Amino acid sequence: MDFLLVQALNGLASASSLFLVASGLSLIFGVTRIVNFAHGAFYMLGAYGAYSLYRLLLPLLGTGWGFWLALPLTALAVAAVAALVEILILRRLYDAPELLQLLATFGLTLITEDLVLMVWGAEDLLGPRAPGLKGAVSILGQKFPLYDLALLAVGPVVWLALRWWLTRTRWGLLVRAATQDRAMVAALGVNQAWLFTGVFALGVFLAALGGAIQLPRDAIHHGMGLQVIVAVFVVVVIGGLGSISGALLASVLIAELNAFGILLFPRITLVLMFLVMAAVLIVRPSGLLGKPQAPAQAVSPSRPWQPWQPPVRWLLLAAVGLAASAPLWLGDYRLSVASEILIFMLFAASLHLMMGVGGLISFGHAAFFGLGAYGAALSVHWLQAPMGLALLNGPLLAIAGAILLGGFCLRLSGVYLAMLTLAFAQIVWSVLFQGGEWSGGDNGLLGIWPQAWAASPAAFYGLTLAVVVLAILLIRRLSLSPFGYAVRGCRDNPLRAEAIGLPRGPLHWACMVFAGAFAGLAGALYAFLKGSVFPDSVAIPLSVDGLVMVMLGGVQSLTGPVLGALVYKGLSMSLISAVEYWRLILGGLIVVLATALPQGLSGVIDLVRRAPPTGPSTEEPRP
Amino acid sequence: MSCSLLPPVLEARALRKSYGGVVAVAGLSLSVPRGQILALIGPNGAGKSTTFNLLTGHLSPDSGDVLLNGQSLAGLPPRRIWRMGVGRTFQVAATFGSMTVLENIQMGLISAHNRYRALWPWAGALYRDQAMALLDLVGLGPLGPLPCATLAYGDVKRLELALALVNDPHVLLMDEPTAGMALAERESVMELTVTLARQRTITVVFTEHDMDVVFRHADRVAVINRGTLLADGTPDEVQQNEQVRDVYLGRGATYRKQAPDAER
Repeated sequence: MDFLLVQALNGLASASSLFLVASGLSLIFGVTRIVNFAHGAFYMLGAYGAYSLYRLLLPLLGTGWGFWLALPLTALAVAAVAALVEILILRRLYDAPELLQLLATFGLTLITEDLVLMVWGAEDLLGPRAPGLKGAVSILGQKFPLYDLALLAVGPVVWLALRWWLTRTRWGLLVRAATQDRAMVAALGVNQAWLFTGVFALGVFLAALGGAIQLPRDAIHHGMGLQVIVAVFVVVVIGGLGSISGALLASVLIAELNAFGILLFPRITLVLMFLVMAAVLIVRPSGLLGKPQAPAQAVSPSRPWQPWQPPVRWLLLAAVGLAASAPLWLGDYRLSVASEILIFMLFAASLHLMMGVGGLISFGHAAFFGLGAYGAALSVHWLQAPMGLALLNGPLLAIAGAILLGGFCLRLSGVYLAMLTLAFAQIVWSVLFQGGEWSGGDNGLLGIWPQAWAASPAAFYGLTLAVVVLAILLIRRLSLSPFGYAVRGCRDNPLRAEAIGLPRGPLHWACMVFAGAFAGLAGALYAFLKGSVFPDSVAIPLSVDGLVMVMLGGVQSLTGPVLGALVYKGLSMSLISAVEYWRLILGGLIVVLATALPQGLSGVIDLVRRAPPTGPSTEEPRP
Repeated sequence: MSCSLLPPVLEARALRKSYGGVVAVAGLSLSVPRGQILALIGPNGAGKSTTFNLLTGHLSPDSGDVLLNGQSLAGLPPRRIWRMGVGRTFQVAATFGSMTVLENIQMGLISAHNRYRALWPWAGALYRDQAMALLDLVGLGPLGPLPCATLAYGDVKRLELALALVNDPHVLLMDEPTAGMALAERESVMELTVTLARQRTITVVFTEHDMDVVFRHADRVAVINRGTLLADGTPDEVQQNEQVRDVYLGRGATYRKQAPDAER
């Protein structure tokens, strides 16, 4: 009993930090509609910054003042950096499709991660204990750190302060107004630019403070940003995007769940958080205290798709021809690199089917990729299935996953749908990670090699090329079939789609299943390429990679994602092997591309080949 | 009226709908005979939008029923109602932004032929001639290959009209068909609608704010106020109706009562 109480208090202390970060994210989303992926990075900067600033201030001010000044000063400094980022980068992106902002903030995350590595090194750092709060109090005979007890109060205090600020000050009034109706606030003559900058800086201040106050509790490391951003996404979604009170409620819920989950269900701790989120979203599609959002626009539906014109068709044919001749002029290592790029082209194309055609944003597309990989690997490992059968079983498992997920997703749209897909991917990941013997757990499954005829890198490359080209042509055919048009119609205008007899739910469900199947196929090929599978193939970074490829290439056409996969995968693989700080370069490139080319790489092609829009279209729509 | 002897195509029976404590529609009954063009009018907040949405299936009534050719539509989603031959247009024209003008119509035809599940054919090659014919019908023939987002608003409304005709509806429900259009455009779009409706014996129910449009084109005008029918008859009858005048113009009673105060 006493132990349980202490555990509960522990949970509450963690909830404070979680709430600080989540409320910042929620505020920023409410006003700017930006899902700030870099929020975790700012949290991490807060922790590292406080660590260094404390050491800087120590000789001048001594432990007491040094520590207690370092925390807020760091948060202020990080907020200033954030204001700069908002002015220089995000301000250019407010009119762009929502996902582009996510892409840009993801680029920022990559940059920050490497900067932290450069400045502070890869080792974990231990912060100082909090001066004045070093001891512990005895609660029902159990020791409880004094600092944690102080942290208990931080969450509610910040919540009260935010409530006061939002309801009693002019600035807060503007923020609430902007959360409800941005256009109206602008029409009333409020300078939006500075309102957005201010809110972004405030949100980041809270995140950095959340990071800084963790200093005496935990070691700090360069993975803490990504770690916290996932938890915070979950908190914000459970609480309801844009709701501060919802964020408080959800942080307590999640923190307690983690505190007790470890005791009660040690085997599924990792899944627990996401199970709760999925359950909440199914019952309340807008979170506990959230209001329904206008659906997010992944694509601005303004430009019709065009069939491939003859020059493009010849160009693509030439590209495939060139790719087919690769075994003649590429070595073994480069051939397997090329195979990997091909596989990710298919992965990106499958994500495009969901996002570009269906308008269904997925943050967890790796789930299908991973299910495909494991479907193949499990059938080889346990059933000794031949490669052909395994390549079929992979997509089948992914299809099963997509059918399950799609059933839960029917009522959701926009960011909430994206979050449920993320939760699904995390659940799949945890099941595989904690699966023990049958899935190989953390060690994965090894020895998934192709059969003799496809064993050489050249032969496997040929197989991959054939499968990928065929699959991408199928995706294209599907996108331009009556089914594809109907799915796109439901995305363009749900009202009109319903009014001409198109059932949105089932169509989107089917779209998800097709996308899952193709992603699963890519995953199955990947398993044979690597000869092994690991839970990594379901993890968040892979889902993010997919998003980056699609957004980088441009979501408007199928060519975009395929091109994006080529550029991103090619770049990241060559950077990883050539440069130490590849994330820095890649992140910088992403940010530059997102701000300079909001339509993605394929947007450039469009500028070049821009066809006269009014010309009589006499050509037959063919592939 | 003489035409009410014909069997009704669309019939509303004692429709009631309230939002919280506010009764928007309070026991409204209407029956529309085949081929009639009926305008639903009423001042703001009279309940005509609610009535309209009850007819289209976007809202379900608290009590009462909507019958199409004697068959109840209660609880059916809009897409089912469409499949029973009821087309509709929206106040803010709803079309598919990522498709060309022609593809919009092709999409409609694909759905009308129940082929939206087909995975193999090229959608762009299906029902081209039929789609072209429909576009010609509404005067958009040459604009087929244009992205629908580049059209002038009047043309978007015409496109929507063509889209509403893809399944040869016998009833057409139009929510403010001329809202947001220039004066000259209003006339020509309404003219077109009425001509097409007469040619194909389509029953039309529309809501409208522009009284010129209403009295020029409707066979019959139903005035809704406070959720019930205030008047129902030919345009002439309704125009002569004292109560309708009161609702729309006021009696001047408020003015007279306040006038003495104003002198002080």
